[in-house]
Amino acid sequence: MKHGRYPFILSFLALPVGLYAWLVILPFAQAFQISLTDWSGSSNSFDYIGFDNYVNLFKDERFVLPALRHTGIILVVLPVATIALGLFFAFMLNLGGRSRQGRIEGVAGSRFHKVVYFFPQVLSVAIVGILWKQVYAPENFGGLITGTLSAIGLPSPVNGFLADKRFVLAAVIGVLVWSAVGFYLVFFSSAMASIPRDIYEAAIIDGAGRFQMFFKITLPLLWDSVQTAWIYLSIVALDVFVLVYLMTPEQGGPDTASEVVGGVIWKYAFKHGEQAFASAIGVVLFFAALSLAVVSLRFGRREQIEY
Amino acid sequence: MATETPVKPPAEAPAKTRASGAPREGAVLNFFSQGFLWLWSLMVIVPVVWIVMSSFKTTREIASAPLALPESFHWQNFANAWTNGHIGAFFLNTLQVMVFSVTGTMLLGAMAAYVLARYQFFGNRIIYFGFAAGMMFPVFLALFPLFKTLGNVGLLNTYTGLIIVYIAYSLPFTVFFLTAFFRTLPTGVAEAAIVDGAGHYRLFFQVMLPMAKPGLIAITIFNIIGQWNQFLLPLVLMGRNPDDAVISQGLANLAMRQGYEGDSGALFAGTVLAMIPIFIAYVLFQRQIQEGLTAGAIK
Amino acid sequence: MRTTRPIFNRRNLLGATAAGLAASSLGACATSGSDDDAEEVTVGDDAENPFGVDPAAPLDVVIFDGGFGNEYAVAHQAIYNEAFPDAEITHLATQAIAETQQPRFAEGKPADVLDNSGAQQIPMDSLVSDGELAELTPLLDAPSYDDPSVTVRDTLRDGVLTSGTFNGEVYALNYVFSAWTVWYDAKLFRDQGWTPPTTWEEMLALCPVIKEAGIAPWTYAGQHPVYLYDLLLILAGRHGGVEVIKAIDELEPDAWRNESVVKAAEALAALYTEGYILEGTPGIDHIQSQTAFNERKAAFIPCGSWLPNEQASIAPADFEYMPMGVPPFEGSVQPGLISAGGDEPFVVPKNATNLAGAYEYLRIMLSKEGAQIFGDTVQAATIVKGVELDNPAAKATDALVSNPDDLFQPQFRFWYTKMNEEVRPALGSLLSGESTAAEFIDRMQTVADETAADDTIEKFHHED
Repeated sequence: MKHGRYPFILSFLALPVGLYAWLVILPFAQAFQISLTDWSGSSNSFDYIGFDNYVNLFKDERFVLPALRHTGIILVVLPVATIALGLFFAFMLNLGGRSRQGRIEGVAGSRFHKVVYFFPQVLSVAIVGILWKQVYAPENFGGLITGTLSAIGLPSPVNGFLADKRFVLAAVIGVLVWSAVGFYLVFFSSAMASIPRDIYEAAIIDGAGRFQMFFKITLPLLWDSVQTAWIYLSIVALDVFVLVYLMTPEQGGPDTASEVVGGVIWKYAFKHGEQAFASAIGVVLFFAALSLAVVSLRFGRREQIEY
Repeated sequence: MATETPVKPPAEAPAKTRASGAPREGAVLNFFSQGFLWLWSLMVIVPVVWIVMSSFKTTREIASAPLALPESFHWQNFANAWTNGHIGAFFLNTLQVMVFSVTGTMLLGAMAAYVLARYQFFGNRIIYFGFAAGMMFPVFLALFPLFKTLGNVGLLNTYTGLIIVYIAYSLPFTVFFLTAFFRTLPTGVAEAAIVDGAGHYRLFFQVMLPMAKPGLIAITIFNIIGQWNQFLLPLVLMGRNPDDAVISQGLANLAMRQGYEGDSGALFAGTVLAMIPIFIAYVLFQRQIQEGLTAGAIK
Repeated sequence: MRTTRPIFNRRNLLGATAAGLAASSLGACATSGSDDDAEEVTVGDDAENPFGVDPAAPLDVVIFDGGFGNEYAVAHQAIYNEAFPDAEITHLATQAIAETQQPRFAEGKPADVLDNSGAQQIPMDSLVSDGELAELTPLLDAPSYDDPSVTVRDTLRDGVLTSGTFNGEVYALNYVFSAWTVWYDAKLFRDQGWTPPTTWEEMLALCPVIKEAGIAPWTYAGQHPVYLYDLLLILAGRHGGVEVIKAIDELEPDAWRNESVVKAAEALAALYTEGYILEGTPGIDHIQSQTAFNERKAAFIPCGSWLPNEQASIAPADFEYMPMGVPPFEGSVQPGLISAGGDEPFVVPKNATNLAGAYEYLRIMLSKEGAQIFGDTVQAATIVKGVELDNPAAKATDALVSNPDDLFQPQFRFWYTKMNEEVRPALGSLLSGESTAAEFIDRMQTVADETAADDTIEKFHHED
């Protein structure tokens, strides 16, 4: 079996690695090169200006700094909310019901919920944006939430959620959670499916409630999956842009209240004609994401539990 | 139409709980959890029903009474979306691209992942983390260099160019995920095959690939969804000839046109048309997705 | 604050045909070269073909596929093909101008004719500063398509070249003629017995009456506060004269603190504090606000002269659009001042392959037939003089624009991206009660001063 090992490895890796290096790594390296220039994006000439773009981007109070703050908030809230909801739903839909003939299963309607919850994943993001713009609209323009709040006698923002500085970022995060939860429900469900049922049945015999079952058994055994989910969601959080573009006033407003890093890159690249500056922001974003992933992997590691 | 009133859980649910071990805590908890589960379902169903409903309304109805039921079934929207929005043609274009791009992604992704997961060699970790880092790569950054790169080899505005770009940008997630999957596969079978005299290639194609089927199917589905919704790459790399556009571009065009001339009826109809195939695929393969995802965790 | 801006005198890094931007070799270092290797187009004696178009040369046209669609361009191309049957025309209609065309500029292979419009247009200031556009004087000096004794320039309406002129040089042909105004529904006013106000004070006096009828006096595209830009500036300009708003464009010190500008800002803020704006307006987009106006939920809306056409499929049949201009304050110095001129910029890239063909294509667009096709197809007004158009937008525009001396388009928004980014949210806050008029003035004066002080930003000026 030893013979032909390296030719085999080489033959399997050459094409994927080659393609990846050519079309992903190399363009990225070039983007880094661009970030050291003053290139506008619509010309074939430019000058090298060193790291000026990097120095300037941390002084940009108008767009970059608010965007960094907002992306930071999304980076914390999106994974926490999505994972918490995903775990709760997965637990309820797989293990939440009580045993019949000694078998643990999900609550009634589980199969239905599982199909429905995943549905936002199949909607194109353009549609999700149009959809939620209507849901968040002001009351006398058919807003679903504002209308419901008023109907039950609660106050609601008069201009809808998206035109209100206090709510717009939360509103965007809400849509992100809404569309992501289905994926993580399925993701955690499959992880839960691999936990042997007799562990739970033993716990029930010992008189454990569902809270205890969840925190003492499910969560620890799911730790790897939670960590993976965290990384995926962080990537999503750093990439948030299309929704902000489609839903919010002035694509990041009102008055920069929903500006995010992805959107600022787009604004500088295509609306302000400062491609080089945009590239610098992108490079910073990439390294921030990378360090985040490395750090969370290092500190999140736990003992592997075999079962 | 459906409204936001909370739907009561079916009657048998509380009964089931009462029959079980922890009676009081369970009943209260069950009531709230059930309520929340149904509320979330409503939060998904109501908007989707709204899209479907709007697709049957005239543009004037959509603008003036966004929440009302359609006065009559305005099938014209679908005809408009199909002809003016070219949804049918774009659908075929997309299919044409994705047959190759998804197959290519899965084949190359599986090959790389398998080698990275099961063989120790110099550079293994570097290549693995190289792929993993690609998941954090903002596609925006690559647009201009990619335009240039493809232009240099004459692949700009060609499906071949788009296909290889799709493959390259789908590889990070695919390799990352499948590597984890191949690591979880039991070693015993592979060893037995080797004892039987199977070479590296036969081992991969005849033993490991069939064993990895659940993982492969799950990732295939995610690549289909991901590439189906891809917007920026085709916009820039296929920007020359509008007849070659893929479906996401067609939808975005409808969405943008709506802002200028307000044919929202056609937009919603186009959305419904574009939603159908993906939804069918999901319902059909739902079980495989679940099974395949088991291996997703980082090991 | 940002300091890098595109500036003149770049070295051409990689040459036109070489690997272009960021070639495969990362170490590619700058080579000297000139951007000016593109050929120049001159006007010849042949009135049929003044630019000396090569009849067989292909022509590459990119049209912004927005509110005007692209059918009119197809018709223009047919005329071009009549003159040059062998020319193969590539026609691309798209909304994503920047995403699809910017890389082509970067590569040095741009389109020949580009309709650089819409939300995703390539910023004009950046194209001009980068020296990427061809100057259009040869076109304007050429004999017109219909009458060789008249130059193209002389067939155009007054003031239409202003918005495409950067420091005296014409880089864009703004092909549609439009005017900003305030609209009301004549039928509603007739039915209610209201007299259309002729001054701001009359308008304010009418507002309580309108409210009593259960109708909000005002609405606007709240998510795009840029729709308020001309309302504010024309209100100020009418009061104090055009010099007041010209000073703003020229970044003069304390231009924003002029009493007319302050008065206008206070007047707009008062619309909110008095409750004269349709509830929820800051949260709606242009289509929603225009629909509310069509449903007679609001009496006045500030919008351009294209409004009747844009709402054609939504407005009720008995709706009577009537433009009334911005109602001036009593005692206004220049009550006829109006923001009107060219819109929808067509540009010819300097590195266009078929430069002569591009000029000829624009010349065809500016022929009587070309203008007629455009006006009839898209239901808009044209910049070409003496073309009879029977559509509501054209008529509205004609009604608004009587005295050419009163035409003025405020420009700072197009000249300075940074100020454009500031004025939009500032107007949004002003009309939603989030900031006072004084705060608004301070905010705009600050960004104007910063722009003036930043010598990396290229400055533009009005002629004369």
